[in-house]
Amino acid sequence: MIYHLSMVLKTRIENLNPKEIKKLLLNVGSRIYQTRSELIYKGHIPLAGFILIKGAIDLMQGKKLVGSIAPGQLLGLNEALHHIPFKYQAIIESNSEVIILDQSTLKELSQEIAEIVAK
Amino acid sequence: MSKAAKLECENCPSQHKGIFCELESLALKNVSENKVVNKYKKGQTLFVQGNPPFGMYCVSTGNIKISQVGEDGKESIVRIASAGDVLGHRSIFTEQYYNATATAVEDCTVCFLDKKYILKLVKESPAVATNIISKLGKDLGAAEKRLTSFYQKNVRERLAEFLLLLKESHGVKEAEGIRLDIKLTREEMASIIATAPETLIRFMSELKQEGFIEQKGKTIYITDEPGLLEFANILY
Repeated sequence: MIYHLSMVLKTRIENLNPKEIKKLLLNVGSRIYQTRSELIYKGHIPLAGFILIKGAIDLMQGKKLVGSIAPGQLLGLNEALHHIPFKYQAIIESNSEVIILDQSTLKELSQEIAEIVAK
Repeated sequence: MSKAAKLECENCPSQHKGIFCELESLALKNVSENKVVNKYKKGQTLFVQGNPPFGMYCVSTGNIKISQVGEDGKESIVRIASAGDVLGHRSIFTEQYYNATATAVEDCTVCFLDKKYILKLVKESPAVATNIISKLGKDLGAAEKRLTSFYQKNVRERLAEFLLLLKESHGVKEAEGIRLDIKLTREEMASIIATAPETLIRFMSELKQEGFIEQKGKTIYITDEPGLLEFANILY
């Protein structure tokens, strides 16, 4: 049941429209990373899921760039929800803005979805 | 993909050293369920100066240097956090961005609890609140003491005082003396006592010649603690 709910939450967050992202911004707030830095190390469990609002996040495999997260996209949500080690190194560029979905926020969102599903 | 094995609070090597350790079994289990545990390799950062905090770190094993970079780009080490210490706790309550960078100086195991959970725990558990206040008080005391040292002591005395501080936090009694169970580079040690590495090396040689310390490879032993205390001009 818990896994099902977390998959519902994951799907729900992955399909947020701009209006819903704005609502999330108002409720959860966003943060700006002033300094370019490692957001998630390879093999680490993400401390939170991230929704990129502005800027860029690079995904690295060693020194090789394997992908990028664009504004509106998610990072690390599945891994944060299920405590799975992240496959790559995620580096956030300076002055990037993100919504941080920490464990407590994810649990609250899961609870809201559970209540909706139970109705 | 396999899940990483999780370190439970009850099995932590730093049990009884941290701010959550006094919680009852059920509450401690709740902390275990809400934390994220990661192993940081030497050189990896837990958080970076200028970035937003969203939780607190609890060091299970290993040593972490807390440093600030000045406008000239020069790094100054503010302190060393070790097993049982917490990091990032000030930023949770001040709402300020991190004013320092935390970097593993060796392989570390660190737990993370998000801000919402910490604030909830502080409201529900007076013991946690008291421990955090106590920790903040000790941090302030240590910072004031360090500031006084910079004004009142010369480099030799600051080096001796620093070695004695390391003895308190990382000292292991052995036949040769008290082994300092931490590996810091000369540059890191020099940064902590605000001197140049060349000056540090010179004064380390002096301390060895005086018989206060011994060095085997990169490991430092304190062989004459009373002598070092007197040298550091500390009134204990």
